[in-house]
Amino acid sequence: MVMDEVWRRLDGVGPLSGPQGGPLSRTVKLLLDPLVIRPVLHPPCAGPLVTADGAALLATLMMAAGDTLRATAAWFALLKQVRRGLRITEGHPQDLYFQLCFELATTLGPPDPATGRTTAEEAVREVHDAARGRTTRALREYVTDPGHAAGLAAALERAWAERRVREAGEGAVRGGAAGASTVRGGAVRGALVPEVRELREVGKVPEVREVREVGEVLAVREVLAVLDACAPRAGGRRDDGERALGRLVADRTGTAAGLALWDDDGGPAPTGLPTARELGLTGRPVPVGPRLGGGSVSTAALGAPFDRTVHERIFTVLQTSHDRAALAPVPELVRREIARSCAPWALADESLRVTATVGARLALGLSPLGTPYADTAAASAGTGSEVGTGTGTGTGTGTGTGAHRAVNSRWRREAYVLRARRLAVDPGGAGEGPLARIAEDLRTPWRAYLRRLWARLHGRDVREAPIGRVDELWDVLDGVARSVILDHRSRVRQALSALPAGHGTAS
Amino acid sequence: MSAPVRIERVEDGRLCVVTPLNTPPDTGTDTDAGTGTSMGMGTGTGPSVLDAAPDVDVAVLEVAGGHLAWSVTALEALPVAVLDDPVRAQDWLWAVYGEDVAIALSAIALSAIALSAIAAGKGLQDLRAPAAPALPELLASARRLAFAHWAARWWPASVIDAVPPLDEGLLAAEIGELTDECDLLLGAEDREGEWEWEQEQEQEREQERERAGAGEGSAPVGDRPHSAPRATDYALAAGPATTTAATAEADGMTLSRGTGGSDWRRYPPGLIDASERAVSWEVVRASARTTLTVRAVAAPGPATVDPRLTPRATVDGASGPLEVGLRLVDDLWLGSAGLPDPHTGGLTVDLHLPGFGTPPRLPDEDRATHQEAAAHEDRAARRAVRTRVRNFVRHRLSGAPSATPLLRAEIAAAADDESDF
Repeated sequence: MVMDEVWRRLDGVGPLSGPQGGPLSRTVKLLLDPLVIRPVLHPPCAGPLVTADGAALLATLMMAAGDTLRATAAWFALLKQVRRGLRITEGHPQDLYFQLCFELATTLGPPDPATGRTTAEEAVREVHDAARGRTTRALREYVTDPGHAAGLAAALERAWAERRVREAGEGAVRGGAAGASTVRGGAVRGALVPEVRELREVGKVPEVREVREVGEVLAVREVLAVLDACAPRAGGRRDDGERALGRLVADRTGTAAGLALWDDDGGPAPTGLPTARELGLTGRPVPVGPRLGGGSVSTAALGAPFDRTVHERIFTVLQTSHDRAALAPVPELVRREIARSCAPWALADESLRVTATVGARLALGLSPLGTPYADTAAASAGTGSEVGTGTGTGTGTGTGTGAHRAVNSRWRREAYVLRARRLAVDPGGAGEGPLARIAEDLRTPWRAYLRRLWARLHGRDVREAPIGRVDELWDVLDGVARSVILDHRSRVRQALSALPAGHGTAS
Repeated sequence: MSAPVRIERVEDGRLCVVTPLNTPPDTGTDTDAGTGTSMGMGTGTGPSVLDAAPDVDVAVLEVAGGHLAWSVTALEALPVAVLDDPVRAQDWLWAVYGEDVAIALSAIALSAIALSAIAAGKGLQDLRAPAAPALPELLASARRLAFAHWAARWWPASVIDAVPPLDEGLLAAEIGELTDECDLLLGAEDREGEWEWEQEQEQEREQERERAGAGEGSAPVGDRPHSAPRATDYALAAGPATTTAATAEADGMTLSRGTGGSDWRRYPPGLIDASERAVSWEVVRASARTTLTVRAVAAPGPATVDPRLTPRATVDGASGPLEVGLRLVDDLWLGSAGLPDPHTGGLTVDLHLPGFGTPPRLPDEDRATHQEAAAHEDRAARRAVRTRVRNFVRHRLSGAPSATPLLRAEIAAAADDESDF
């Protein structure tokens, strides 16, 4: 409020203001907060509400930055003009240019009438050219280049053939070497059935059977502890959650759960997850080695995560990346993706594998539109019962965590919004047609959730952004819930619409 | 303006609710009976996303950190806010509800322990604070945006009632502008999400174009000629005094007939005329066979619903419930079914789109006795709300002064209407 009032006293900042004269939300998020007010340096200005002293300081800081902000606004107006002139439509101009303009304003002052335009053009080109070499076209050319394709395909095949051995080796080192973590390591080894058998033959892993069950129980308990602690208002449980998350990562529980997903019976997964197919991660009975790919990619017609080609996996990351310049060069992206696609959960980083495992447990307890999942599964005898038995043991205790309550509460509110917008679909709706397909998806809500979650974790993995704390984990889990909700809403809107979908052809 | 609001925590403290305590005059007539149980709310307050289900008059807006809800016939009132992220909502709370409310919410959000101590000590369930919007223009834009979203879905377009449809393009454009005006309220993140999705769509379209070959622009969609039929075209089809049926079944004898409306909540907009006289039925006896025919006037305006989605009629009152599929013939939905015996009594005909979300049922205890009475009561209540909405919309179109100025689509519709009739 203080910010808004002071802002209105500044003149010449129109390009950074909303229609009603206040600062745009990105002006606050990208400029005022991090660059002008800097609450970390000025604690009285931190938080949503400030004291009288804080307000005075805030006003002083903003007024002092007045010239810079005016210059920033002028640069922004100029950069937008240049952008239009260069016919650039990529990205959101506020996201891309706000901080750049502030930098220009700080170093050069307001745009010089003589040279300003040239500077602006250089700056805009630099922003957009930084992605050069990391375009979807470069990617396609690289993976289809006859000089590389065969070698890459061979590497991919090799990586898939060796996938278990590689992980088992790492797992055995961690679980077996440290004597104190034998029980904890059991959580990992429980899932490594073939590997464990192999390793036991060479005498490396003793007494697996005894510790396995203990390990499984502990792993499930820790997953639930994380889910209970990550949602807002967990209070003192937060610390338990942090510890549980730390242990899950240290014990490589994510790896163990991911390895089990390669088995057709769900395997003795330490976290009690059903098979990859039931989870919607593959359309096949068992995941098979990914293909390199190389044709055109349609993001609307993408298969299940584990069925996507290496090309498709990188393509989607390039498409959604705000800052391609921060990514590795294309050949390196491909090399890493080949290894990643043959790793548990098709993710390289352990903390992300753990997040996937925790997220899967959350997903299995979702009840979109207030329909308890167990009820719908029981009601729809055909497909539901199969899944019901697959996940029955898992969901029983899992639905009561703080994370479940928070996400299901979000869905309940969404159910209200959908009804208020005349976009509600009957989750029990059978038969054929566009609405029945959506109803079917509502009865298996974990599939859409895990599809989105995997895509997000995969993006993080490519950008090398692990998850270290439960609040980060929650931001991902809740963010996925929101986007699944938005997806659902737009799908309903489209299913009802008379206009041809215009995209996502069935072929 | 400084009306008091109540601030409370619900659902184990997960959500904060801001409820304005001045009962808006328009909702004073207690038509929202049966709207459902409102969790922890008193009666007489506006709708909230925590209610069991919205009525057809609810305008809801997703904002940074929560939801706002109004009754569309009482937009001048402050909305009920349900916040799942009160800290994020601080960005706009001061603007919409005023500084006092923002401070009270901050206290309640940040120090749950202190609050529970207060609650335990004084038996308090909630806090009260005077509301005084600091940015009335933002509140006005928010109200208009919520109303525009509502109008896009619930506008009671009807040939019979002479409520012209709204132009979708005009409405969408205005929703876009209002969304920009509400930047502070909607927050950057949600918009980003939306933008991400739009971007995906855009990429898809781009790829489509790429596949279709360069230079071949795809034809613009949704630009169909707009031809609103006139009420007179339908008078015969809709009215109870119709003679169409008699002529069609020249040898038959009409045993019974009736007219009614339909529950808007059971199908998407664009399918069926919103009038209370849009649905008619007739039982005809001819050649030793009894046939029930159901007719429903289709919604006016260009087609907006997937043609594969066709409504169905549920008929009660004859021997057992009967489902009749309807097909579109010109501007009428038509369907018929044989009845086992000559039926002369009244029938209840309900329309719905199969697969569309049904409103929550009344708790069905005492199936035999209470159900029918309750259903009857519910039906009357639903009808009353629809009438209220219809009157409200007519009032707006008539040019009467309103707290929420007309949208461009409404102005166009009103002008169209005058030239048409």
